[in-house]
Amino acid sequence: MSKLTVANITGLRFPEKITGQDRRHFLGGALVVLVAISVVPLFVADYWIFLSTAGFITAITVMGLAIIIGWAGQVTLAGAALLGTSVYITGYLMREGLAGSGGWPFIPALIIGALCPAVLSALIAVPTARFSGIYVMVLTMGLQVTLERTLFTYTWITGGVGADVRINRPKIFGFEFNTDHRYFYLSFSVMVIAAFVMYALRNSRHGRAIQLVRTDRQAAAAVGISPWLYRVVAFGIGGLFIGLAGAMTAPLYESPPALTQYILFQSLFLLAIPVVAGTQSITGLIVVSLTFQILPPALQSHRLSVYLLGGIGLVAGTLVGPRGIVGTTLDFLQQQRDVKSLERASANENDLGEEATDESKKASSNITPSKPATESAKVRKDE
Amino acid sequence: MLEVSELSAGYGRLQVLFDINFGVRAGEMLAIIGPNGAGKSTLLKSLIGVVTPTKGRIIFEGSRITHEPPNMRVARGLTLSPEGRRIFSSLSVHENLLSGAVRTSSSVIETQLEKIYSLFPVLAEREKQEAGSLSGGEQQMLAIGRALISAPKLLLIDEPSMGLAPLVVAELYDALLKLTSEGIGVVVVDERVTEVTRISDRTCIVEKGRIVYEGEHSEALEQLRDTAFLGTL
Amino acid sequence: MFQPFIVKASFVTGIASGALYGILAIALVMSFRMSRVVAFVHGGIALSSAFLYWYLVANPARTSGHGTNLAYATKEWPKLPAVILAILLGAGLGILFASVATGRMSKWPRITVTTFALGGMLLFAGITQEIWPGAFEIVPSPFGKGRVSIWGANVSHHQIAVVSILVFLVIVLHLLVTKTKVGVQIRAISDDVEAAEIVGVPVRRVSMGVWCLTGAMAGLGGILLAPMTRLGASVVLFVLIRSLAGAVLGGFNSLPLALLGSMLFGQVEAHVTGGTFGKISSGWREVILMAVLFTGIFIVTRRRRSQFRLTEA
Ligand SMILES: Nc1ncnc2c1ncn2[C@@H]1O[C@H](COP(=O)(O)OP(=O)(O)OP(=O)(O)O)[C@@H](O)[C@H]1O
Ligand SMILES: [Mg+2]
Repeated sequence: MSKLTVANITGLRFPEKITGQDRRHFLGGALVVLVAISVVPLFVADYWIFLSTAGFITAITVMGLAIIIGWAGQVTLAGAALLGTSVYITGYLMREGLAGSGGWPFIPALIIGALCPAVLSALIAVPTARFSGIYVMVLTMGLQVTLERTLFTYTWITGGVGADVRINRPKIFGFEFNTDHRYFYLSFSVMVIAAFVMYALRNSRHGRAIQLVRTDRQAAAAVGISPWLYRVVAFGIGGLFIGLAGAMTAPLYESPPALTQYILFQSLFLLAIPVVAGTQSITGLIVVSLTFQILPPALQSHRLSVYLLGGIGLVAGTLVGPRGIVGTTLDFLQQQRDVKSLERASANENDLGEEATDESKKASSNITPSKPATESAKVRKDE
Repeated sequence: MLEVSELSAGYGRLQVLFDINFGVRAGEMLAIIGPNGAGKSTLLKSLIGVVTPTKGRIIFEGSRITHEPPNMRVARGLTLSPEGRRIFSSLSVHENLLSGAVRTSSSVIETQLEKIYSLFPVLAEREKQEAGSLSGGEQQMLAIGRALISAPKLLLIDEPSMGLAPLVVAELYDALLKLTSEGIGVVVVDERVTEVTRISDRTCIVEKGRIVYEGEHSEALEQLRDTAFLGTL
Repeated sequence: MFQPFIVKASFVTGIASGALYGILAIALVMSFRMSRVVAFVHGGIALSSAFLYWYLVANPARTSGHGTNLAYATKEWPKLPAVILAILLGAGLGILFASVATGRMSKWPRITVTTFALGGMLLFAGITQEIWPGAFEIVPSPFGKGRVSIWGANVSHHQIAVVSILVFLVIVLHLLVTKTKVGVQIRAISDDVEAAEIVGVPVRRVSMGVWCLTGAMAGLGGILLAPMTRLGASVVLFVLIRSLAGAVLGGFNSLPLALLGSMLFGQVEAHVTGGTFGKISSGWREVILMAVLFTGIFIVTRRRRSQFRLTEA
């Protein structure tokens, strides 16, 4: 896992092309994960499988949040409500269908369920696109509370919490994902696909445009990028990821999940994850999502509640700074490696003569937390 | 009364000032001139304490104030009228003046108010008016008045003439001269090189964060012709 | 449909709940003017103070865990020391938050600091829930159970007290801000922090003082809120979002407008809930309030776009 983190899918540091050593690192990392994911479930209790599944799905939610926070530079407080919207609508469609059609299959229900929050999220961004970030916070908080008080209170949609309401695990192309193990693998695959989509999006023309709007509105407007449109798009894409996660959650419990999972405090808890992980490293997002999902139940004997964990995460994450705890740690590790490689370079100085000295000087003046990309490439070549 | 030695300062990783040395005596007017971006405003800000020096010493009236916060420096008698005036536009003229008197006794405030109003009578007329509605010249007078309310011994002024008509500038300079005649030291940064060097006792030229010249005003003009950085002479 | 009795009763309820929102809204606006931060943390502070107050005064036989092993040995203290302690807790938490927000974070982007404030809210709420995991507790009012009739509407002492406290706070704050030296400094800081620092205002100390005061007000708001419904984390959030809406209607900048906004919200809510316009479900009430909020934000940002850019993060 850690190899994958540093060398490969860590967001913006990704080298232009995956070649040579990088490719081997990447494939190596992927292989490690694959082996882990196929072997570990054989040895742990079903409970942990279930929790990890929830963790994968949370990771998809968090990717959506990271798109809104990291790319558009806005904080949304409606995360849990958007998630819940998708959960309940997908669940409803799978149970009842529309106009007495009977329960829908999973895929169409998922599509509609995921689109609903995407549209809502984009809609709330339409008028807020010209507002300051704090008004966006207040408005999304309003959306959250409104959804809590409207949609979530209609038991004919949510299904209530009666034990008799069932949502079956999905059947896709004839294959039943009807055990926890099967659903575990399905969720994992969806998460990996989501991660790759997010990665590809970020490096696409539109992804760059969104990020340019955040860093410099004027410059973006000057090159013909509409700040308004791209903020709406970012909210929409973020909402779509959240919606996908919600749709995956719908059959997870095999019955409608409790309302308390989608209240405002839960939004803050979800927000804590990208704040802790930083929004640059997708791997970081996944790791922190899993940790945040598994930690509270694991530490239940120490009474670590979800709110407390989220609160600590948010406070610590903002205190550390914009790169998040994971990002800051990675920077630190990277710097350590750079320093080591510099030491090695200066040790070789005598043998290699002038040229090496220049090289190492250049390298040393380059060590900044913000752009270790060239550094890490260099270090790897040195090795 | 003020002595600056080896002062370096900047913003974050950007270093703006490099090893600045100079001093000011009581009742003296020192002009600081230099091209845009040379670091003049940064120098004044580090003297008042909103920019923290990375190196060097600032000694005011025998005490080291290098790392004191601005409010302590104001209490010691060192004040700044900042670049762009920065008056509090939602406060009245009177309240603006009071905002500079955090640790000043009310008797001193009384006498200083009288003095400021006699120096700039127009402020007395506008006492209750919202400061944002004053004209540019009046705002500058207010900014200077705000810096005078605590009865400072040394007054720092950043670009008082910015955007003002020549007549108003002359009035401001007159006021500054009056202050020096009362024994108050004045450090003025200004772009009107000819005028400001004419009224100052000494002149410093700052370029790229270093003092490249220090001396009497006639020499300063010579020096300026040589460097000709402003192209206006 | 417009029955005078219902309208009157709703009007009175609206004034009381509007006053409650107003107390928190003032705290939000004052903190915003000090630090340019939406003080979500006040929600957490209100919650903590409310629970502390409940713990100190409630009758243990009436707590939600009564009769189970979750029972809380609540204290049944006299009301006054409990109120004072709970307000002090609010003031302390306000200072705690401000020591970071006006220290290390004083020059950070305000969206980051606001996120930190969210974290503070969640953290305080989390700690409170760790200590007292109860929900929907019944909380006795510091002003007893008495009721009087005003204009034919049945009004509790508590409601009268809430309105009186708001009036008192508004008068005191008005005098503080307009008539004292500290008030001038406070307004100077909210006008231009750096200039205030330059002219010698002890910015950090004044800001901490204001946060201490607003924290105390948030705590007081929590204490006053608790007896009006039942005490639980979500209840406090509900009040917080209404106060926020009130503050937003005042552009986070104007105390009178924020008060007006809170009162408006109180009225709209009371009439919608009370049945002035017939029977309206709580879901629709939320939608209506949201629409008011939305319109408010729209007007406020329109009005102020000319003054300065709101888009800076
Ligand atoms: N708050 C700040 N943050 C970062 N850099 C700054 C800041 N203020 C000034 N600088 C930089 O410091 C340098 C010196 O600025 P300064 O304002 O001191 O120049 P100046 O001599 O006063 O110029 P001018 O004549 O235009 O007022 C400039 O390069 C400027 O970009
Ligand atoms: Mg300048």
